Amino acid sequence: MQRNRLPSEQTKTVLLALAEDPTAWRHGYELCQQTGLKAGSLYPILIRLADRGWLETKWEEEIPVGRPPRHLYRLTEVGLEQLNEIAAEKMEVAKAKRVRLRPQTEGAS
Amino acid sequence: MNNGLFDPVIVSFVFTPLTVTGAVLFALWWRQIRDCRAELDAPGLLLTLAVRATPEARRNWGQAMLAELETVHGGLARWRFALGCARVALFPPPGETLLQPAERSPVFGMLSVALPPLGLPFIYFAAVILEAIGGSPFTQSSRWSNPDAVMIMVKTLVLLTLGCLVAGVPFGLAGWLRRERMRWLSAMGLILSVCIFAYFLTAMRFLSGGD
Repeated sequence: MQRNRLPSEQTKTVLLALAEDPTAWRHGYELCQQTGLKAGSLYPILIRLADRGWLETKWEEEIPVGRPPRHLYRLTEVGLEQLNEIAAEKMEVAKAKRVRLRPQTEGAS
Repeated sequence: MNNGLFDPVIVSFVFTPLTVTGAVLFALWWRQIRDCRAELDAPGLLLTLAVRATPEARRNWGQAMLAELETVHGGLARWRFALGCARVALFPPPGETLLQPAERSPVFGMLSVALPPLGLPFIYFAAVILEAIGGSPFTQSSRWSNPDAVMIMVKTLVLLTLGCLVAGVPFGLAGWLRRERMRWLSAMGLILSVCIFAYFLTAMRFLSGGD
């Protein structure tokens, strides 16, 4: 059964990094540098995202000289939808916080 | 400090199991990586070995990390990347395809190998510290102002040491019964624990008989 847990902050960071250019294929070390996450944190996130179907993976097609082909990643349609849902939820939470804070702010002024 | 704790016989007695275990593990590791050790540096070798222990269902992720390491330059950056990836390769996140007992991470197996050889150095360093802070019954010193507290500490440390020495048996059995990956680790832990405990008893008899 698929667990429907809210993604962690680190997972959101990875999703946002991938969503910057959803059509581009990215590789692991590039994502490490972009997100500031260590490999030991990034790869479990990528594995879980791929398991959930949020991440598409493939091997580099043009085999480079002197090194093995790299594994590449990009968000799937499902991943992008989930990211949009997360962004929408975040906005709702921020809105609710602003509403809660407003009477206090008004009372103080 | 001029006491029995730094006697070469005591020091070699304490560190022999750890040294022998380390040498055996290193020899096994060296043998496992014989086909790639000419081409790879130390971080590459470490990650290669970790990827060999990765469950089959996650092996492509291990290959992905290895391929990625080839593009990482600089000694420190390569080590950091390889260490992080090695941890993931050894203990990947569980997936639905990894729930079979045969695919479990070798946590108990590793503990069964790691703990027994640490037992003797552990009590040795505890004795050195006790001696440094004011004397211990082990070295027959009477400088400590609260002998009861020393005795409690010593008893606790002895219990912990004995716990470490025999830990290979329960952890080895547990690892074997859980059908962890690399079951040879569990078997090695079991044998190691029995051997080191026997060595400890024999050496203690020899050392006490020599006084």
